[in-house]
Amino acid sequence: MKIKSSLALGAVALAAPLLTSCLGDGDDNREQTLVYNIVNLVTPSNADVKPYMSTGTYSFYLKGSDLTVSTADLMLGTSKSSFVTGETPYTQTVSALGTVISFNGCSGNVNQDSSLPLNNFSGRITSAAYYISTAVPGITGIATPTPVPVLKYNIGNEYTVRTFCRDAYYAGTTTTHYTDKDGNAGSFENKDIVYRAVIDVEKMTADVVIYNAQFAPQQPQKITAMILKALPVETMANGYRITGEDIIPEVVEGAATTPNPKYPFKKFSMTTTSDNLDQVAMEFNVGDRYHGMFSGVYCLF
Amino acid sequence: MSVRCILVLTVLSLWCASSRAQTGAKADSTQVTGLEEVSVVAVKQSSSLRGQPVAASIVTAPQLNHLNVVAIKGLSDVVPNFYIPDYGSRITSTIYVRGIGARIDQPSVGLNVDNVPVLNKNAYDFDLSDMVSVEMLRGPQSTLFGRNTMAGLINIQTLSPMSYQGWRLSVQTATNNPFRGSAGWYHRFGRNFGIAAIASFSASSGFYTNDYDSTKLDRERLFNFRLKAQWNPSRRLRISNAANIGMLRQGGYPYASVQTGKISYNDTCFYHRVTVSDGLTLGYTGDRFSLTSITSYQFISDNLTLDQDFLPLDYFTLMQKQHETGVTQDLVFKPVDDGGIYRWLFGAFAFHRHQNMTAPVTFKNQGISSLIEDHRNSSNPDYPIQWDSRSFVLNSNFRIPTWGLAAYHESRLDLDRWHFTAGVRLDYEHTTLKYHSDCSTGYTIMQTGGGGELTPMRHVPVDIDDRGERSRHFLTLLPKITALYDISADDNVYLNISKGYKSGGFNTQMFSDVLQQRLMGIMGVGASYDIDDVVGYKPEQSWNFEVGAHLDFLGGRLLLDGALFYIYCRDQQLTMFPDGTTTGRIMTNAGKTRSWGGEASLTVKPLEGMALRANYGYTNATFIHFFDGHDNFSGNALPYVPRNTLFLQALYTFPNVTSWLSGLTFDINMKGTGRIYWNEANTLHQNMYFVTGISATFTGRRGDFQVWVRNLNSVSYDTFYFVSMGNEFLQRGRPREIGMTLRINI
Repeated sequence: MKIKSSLALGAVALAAPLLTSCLGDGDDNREQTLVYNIVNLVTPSNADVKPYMSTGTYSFYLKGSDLTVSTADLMLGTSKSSFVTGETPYTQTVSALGTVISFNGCSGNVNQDSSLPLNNFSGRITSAAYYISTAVPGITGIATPTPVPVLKYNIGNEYTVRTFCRDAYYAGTTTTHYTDKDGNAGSFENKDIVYRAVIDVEKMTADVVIYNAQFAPQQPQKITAMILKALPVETMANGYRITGEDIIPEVVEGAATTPNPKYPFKKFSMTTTSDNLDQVAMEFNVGDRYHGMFSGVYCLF
Repeated sequence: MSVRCILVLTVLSLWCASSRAQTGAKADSTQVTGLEEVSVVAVKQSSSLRGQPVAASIVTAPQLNHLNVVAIKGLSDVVPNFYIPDYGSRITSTIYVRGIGARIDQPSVGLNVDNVPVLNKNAYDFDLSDMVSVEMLRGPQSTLFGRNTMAGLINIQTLSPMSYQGWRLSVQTATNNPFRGSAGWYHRFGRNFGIAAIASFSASSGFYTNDYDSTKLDRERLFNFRLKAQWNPSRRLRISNAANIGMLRQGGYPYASVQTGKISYNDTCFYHRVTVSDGLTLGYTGDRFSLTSITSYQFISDNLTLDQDFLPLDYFTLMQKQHETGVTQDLVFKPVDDGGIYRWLFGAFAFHRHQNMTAPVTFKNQGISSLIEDHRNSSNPDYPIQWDSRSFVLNSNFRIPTWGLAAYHESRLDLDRWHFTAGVRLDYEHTTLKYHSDCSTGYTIMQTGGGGELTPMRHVPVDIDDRGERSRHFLTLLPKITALYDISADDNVYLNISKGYKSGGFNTQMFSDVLQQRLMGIMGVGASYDIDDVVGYKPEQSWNFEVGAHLDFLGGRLLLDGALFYIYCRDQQLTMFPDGTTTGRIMTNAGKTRSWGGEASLTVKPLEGMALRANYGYTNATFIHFFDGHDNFSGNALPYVPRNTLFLQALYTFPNVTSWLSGLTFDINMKGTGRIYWNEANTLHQNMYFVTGISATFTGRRGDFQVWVRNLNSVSYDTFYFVSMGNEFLQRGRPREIGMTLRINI
């Protein structure tokens, strides 16, 4: 009998009502403001300047079937910048899995400077993000899940900005190649493993949590949650990467964690693979016994 | 058997023979002996089941006496496709009919005793004296009899004080079963009121020995008291009441390890039970309508204490105690039969049962080492753990209130030789599980110090205190249509299409495993169970398609009943032992299954005093679709279901042998069962086996004396097989038994 893991994924249903209240009921004067904290990945067009991350807050003012997007703490260089877009139509999709508000073509100027126009502004606010409620000791993540604004826009010819969630859960398929104790090679496909990346933007490090870790069918026990602590985060032109070598994971046990040298991660890497940073690929080597690859997303849609 | 015992029996036999005359028992009778009371089956269906579109077997008192049947397990295989394996203890009444059955929780076959529907399957296995008849209706009876009659219905009627007055005494002794006795007093006050009081007691020393301490495992003491009253204040009104108290103290669970071939375990196993029931039947017959009310109260209190690993090792033990009260009310309203072509009945049924249960599992030294420490340490050997103590308890307490309501109707149209019936029942049931599980223990994580020694790193407390409530409700429509054609007054053929239903509910046995996995989760390993997934299970529903015939040849000298059936079952409830080292059993809904087969019952009386009987059942029951998450069992045979049941019997009575011996009856019979698969993968099975019995009954004017042998050919067979924690166990069938029974009617 298949036993469902108690660490089952759920969508961020809590926030769905906030979005569904915007369902059109024929009243064009209906108003709502949604505010979310997010991380900006800012990529300067100057290739000599490395992309960087900064935390920020976006407000979405919805009135009727239009919305405006604003922020007051977008770091461009070393300065805080702000903008308010004009009204842009949005569409709302509600399903059992969650709610998504989608919009395109928001316009405006950063710092009201016509030389810094907003271009190619696309985005969505989604509540259909994965989440596991079980607390992990020593991890400072987002306590209460909220919907995620996934934005991408250009600022003139100067910058490209993408937003992502600093505490994201990734689900997908892990394929592991292993050699058993008899020397036979095998592969194992597992859709139960969930990965969580919690990024400390200040320190540019990430804690990666691997839930339901099982890398081979004959592995004695499934590990409820193992943590790879303080891995370096590196920005790239169109995304970011988390890597690490020779990591002894910590396993959640009781109210604390215990090192587990039986599963040494000789190498680990996580790289964003989509333009809006919601999709990642991972590779890892556990003690030269398990070679794994993962591809997955943190938003259902 | 002691010499004293033999002498007593011989004296009693002689006394019996010299007493004044009373009519001796006939060699064979298929007629119900003076059933002067309201039977629920007769009210809802008919007192003449051979004239109904149903496959039914009726076993009357003479046959019950010939076979020494005192419990329904004794009829296993005697009735075609009716199989009750004898294993475990009296808490276990696993009945399979036509491939439909259940090992735990809800029964698939309903049981009425003197009209009282027994709600809890834990109370199904009891000894009952002075049974007049046992009716076994095969196929779904859900439309008229409701929940948990998906595979059929057993209706037991005991002797009425209006039919017999005087004393009825019986005593029996046998190898490994030193004593079984009963005394019944039947008295009639005037024409309209009768009362009966029957007490019975049995003591058994058991068949199976625990190799660990050389004690007999399955000793038993069983006491039963029944008080039955019947009052007919007028020709229109009948009132009967049957109250019953039963007390049981039994060892049990003689499971032998397949590896060693021995039964050996070190912790106590027993089953104690007290049952109380009372059933009040009121029947009023007016000029045009009749109304029957059947009200029952039932109480069961039992204690199942188990060495749950069945090994001479300290793994874990279970002490499951429950108290349950239940009330039922059934009302049947129908017109008086005026010979018209249209008849109908309306009915309503309600019940409530409330179950309180505690089921603490005590983990002991070996269990802590093998199931907890080793599992945790295999995943992190560099930081091993040591448990705080070598014994701790996982506590579980449950309250399960369940109630239900049903309304039903049946219409019958008689058109010359054709008889059409259509019925429907709307059945609603609501059940709630309130649970409280707790555990307080802990362990220390060790680390390797500089000198290579293990030192404590930190302590991890394990404090679990989970409370919750789950509810389920089920609403089901249960239709039935039948067509019967009278070939002649005594012969008919029929078609029956009906829906069967077995309630869903909660399997509390899995809670210890839920807790164990929760505990492992605290240690950072394993997969936690979702309570809704492993504890709750859905109702089982089936469609039964059946054609059959009841044929009478040669003026009743040859009776032939036959049926062919096809059953499609959805969400069949199967008991499985989950993977790994868990202990409980999961009730899971196994996708889809189907059964097809047939039954034939032949009774021939070629000569006066001779009766030949053959009952055969064939069931081909397989999974249409069943994937348990690891393996696909589609196409495999259902486990624990015998493919064939066979009963052959030859009786001959020599009449009037002497002036004091009015009859001498020889009986030779054989029961055949199998093949039975023991697992869903069909890799293990029990081949068909045949068990022979013989008896000789000396019938006097006031009773009879019988010597008998069961399993004459000492066949070795297995009645049950299972795997728990990777260990294989089985229970062997009973060896040869030789016994004597004396029955005296004064």
